[in-house]
Amino acid sequence: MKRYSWPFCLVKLFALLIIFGLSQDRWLEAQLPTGQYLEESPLGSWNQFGLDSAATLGTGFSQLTLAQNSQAIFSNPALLSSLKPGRLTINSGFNQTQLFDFWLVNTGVISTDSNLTYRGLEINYLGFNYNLGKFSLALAWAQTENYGRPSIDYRYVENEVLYDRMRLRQSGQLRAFSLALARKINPRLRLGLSLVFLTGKIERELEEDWPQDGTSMTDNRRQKITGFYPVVGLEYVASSRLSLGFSFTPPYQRKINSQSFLSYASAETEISFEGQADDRASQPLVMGAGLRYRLKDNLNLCLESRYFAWNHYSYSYFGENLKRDFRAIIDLSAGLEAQTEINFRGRRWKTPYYAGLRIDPQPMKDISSTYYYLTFGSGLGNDYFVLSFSTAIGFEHGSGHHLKNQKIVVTLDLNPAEIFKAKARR
Amino acid sequence: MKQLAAGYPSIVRLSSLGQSLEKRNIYALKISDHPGQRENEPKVAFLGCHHAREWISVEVPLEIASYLIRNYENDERVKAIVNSSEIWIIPLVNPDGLDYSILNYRLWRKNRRLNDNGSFGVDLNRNYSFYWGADDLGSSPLPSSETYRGEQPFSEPETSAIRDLFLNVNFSAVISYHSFSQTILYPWSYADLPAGQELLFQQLASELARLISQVNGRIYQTARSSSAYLTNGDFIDWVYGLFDIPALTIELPPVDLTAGGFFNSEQDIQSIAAENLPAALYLLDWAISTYNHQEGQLNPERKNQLEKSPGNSLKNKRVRLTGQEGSN
Repeated sequence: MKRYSWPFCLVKLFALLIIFGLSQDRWLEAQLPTGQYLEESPLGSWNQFGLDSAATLGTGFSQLTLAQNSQAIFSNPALLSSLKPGRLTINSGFNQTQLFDFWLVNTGVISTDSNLTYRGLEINYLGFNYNLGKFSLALAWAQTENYGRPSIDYRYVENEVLYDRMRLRQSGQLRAFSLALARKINPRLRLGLSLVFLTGKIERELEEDWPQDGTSMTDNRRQKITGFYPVVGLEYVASSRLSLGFSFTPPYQRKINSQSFLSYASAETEISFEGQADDRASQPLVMGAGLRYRLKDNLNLCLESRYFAWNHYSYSYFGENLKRDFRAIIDLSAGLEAQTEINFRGRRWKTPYYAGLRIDPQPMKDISSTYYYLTFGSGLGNDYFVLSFSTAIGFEHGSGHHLKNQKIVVTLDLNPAEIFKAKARR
Repeated sequence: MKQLAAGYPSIVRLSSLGQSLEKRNIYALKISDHPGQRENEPKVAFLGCHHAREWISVEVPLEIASYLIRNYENDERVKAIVNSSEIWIIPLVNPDGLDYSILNYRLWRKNRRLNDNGSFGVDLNRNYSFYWGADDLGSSPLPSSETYRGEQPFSEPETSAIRDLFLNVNFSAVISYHSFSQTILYPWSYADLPAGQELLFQQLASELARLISQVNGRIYQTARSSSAYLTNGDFIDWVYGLFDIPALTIELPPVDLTAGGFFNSEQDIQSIAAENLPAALYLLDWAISTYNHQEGQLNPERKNQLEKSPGNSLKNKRVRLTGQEGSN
């Protein structure tokens, strides 16, 4: 009788879970679909879990067991203990997201034949990690969520006469400042705790005018977001080949200060209103578990899953509790990381390679929408720096609009201590 | 509305007439000395917000309700009215549309029906059965149109809820508030034809306009609804056509787009509500004074006929009006 090793069984189980997840995806016909992109929806996916480095993005968004740099501060701070000390990390990201219905677009006011695309490029992470004996410290700033939407400029012209002109703009980001502490409890067990402070905004501008009537309307809304949450992480080194990672983020409230300014103007009158409300978003509990298995000396397999308790989510907008009929979801990711070396111009260079998959179900009940991601990446580095890059291509299924989401991440990890030493030697 | 009902349970009942597409309750306040009972007394309805962007049309019937309730104990005229009639206040016929208007697009008009072509909304004031879809001038067959009439009469749960109320309660008069233009309109809307009781409607409308003007000096014009533009499938034609009672549309201020259009300044909200109060009280007094107690209850046979024809069965038929022949 053939016996299989238990890691192989885990891999088979995980494959079965992926197949199960694929088979559950179905398209639900809804009278009034909530829409892929609600007022507060972040671009790409509702299931934001920290910020991805090139390594974590490239390995199918594996963040619980694979730590390239201090970005683990947001996902599993226990991994900070595994990092080489004194790393400075800068991350930039490009996000290209398709949307179909959002705000006034394809919800009744403006209609399009096809999906619209939002593109954003920004530096979205700056962090530093340092070791102090058994403790590891990290400090980071990151942009974790983007609330931008494609800008709309609409004109209604008939017989060369302009009757109606509308301009829509939405922008916004959520930024996080984090401080983390991790410790090796014993050779196998590491624990970590991050404190994450949030600040952000969402801004909407609607301007419409009717030249023939000489009237115009402006509707501006500003929301300022603040929040705080902890992340507890654990890494367990089961063997020389196998590590397990766990992460827990409790539910917390984002406080939102909302302000609006609505005005109407004509040749003879100007009417304006200002409104203000203190709103809240009840963010869900998030738990994650994963494993990293060393298949060969320089080849790692990562399998991870995260649970988002979106069924307890609630959101108020200008004092009104908006309907958010969400379900709890589980996402799945799998990735491979290969570390190789090459000789180039007389030096040894590290060249990692990444590949991965992710199944990312969205929480809306009335639209069974899921993103399926393929991820790839690579890099180049030495003792002084590592420059790595990855891309994730996501295909959405379930909303009926076949939305796509693409991310490109470039991560630069610097080792200032080694750089200074090298300069000193010269 | 909940606060008013909870604070004055002896004269107020709050009920839900049904739910909108997005499962919001369409609330009605019944104000009477015995609100839990059906009494043989005149019933008058005040409705608002068939059209989402007409925010002021919610405030005015609410203010009427509040005035009647809060002054019941200390105003003899109010007490007499409430004791002698039932006042039904339905300030928000289109809650989904109003929600979208507040949260997303101020000038949204229709409800939130997802139409087959991907557009949204049915014009609730084109969805009633009387001469529904009589032509494409008074309403539109195109789902993306602002005056889309729906796939069939009473296709929308909002209008069905109003229909069911009127089939079960024998009203004597009704006002439907809209905005804007500062006019008081009476049937017919579907065609530029005089209604059998047009003389009465003109007298009522003129008196209401006179009373309104005495408060703040605003002039409301009075006219047959079709004189400005045709509308078919609208609420007042349905009410008058089926129930043979005065049904008026009051288009609230301002007078035109230059003066604000669908926007009212905060300072004007109270003044507009205040100036419509005497008109509402007058209509209530009129309903009480002309009420025939012997004919008070809806004839069961007539009710049965109406219930069997909630849709198009009355299209192209002229309803015989009490005491008069219909024209044409």
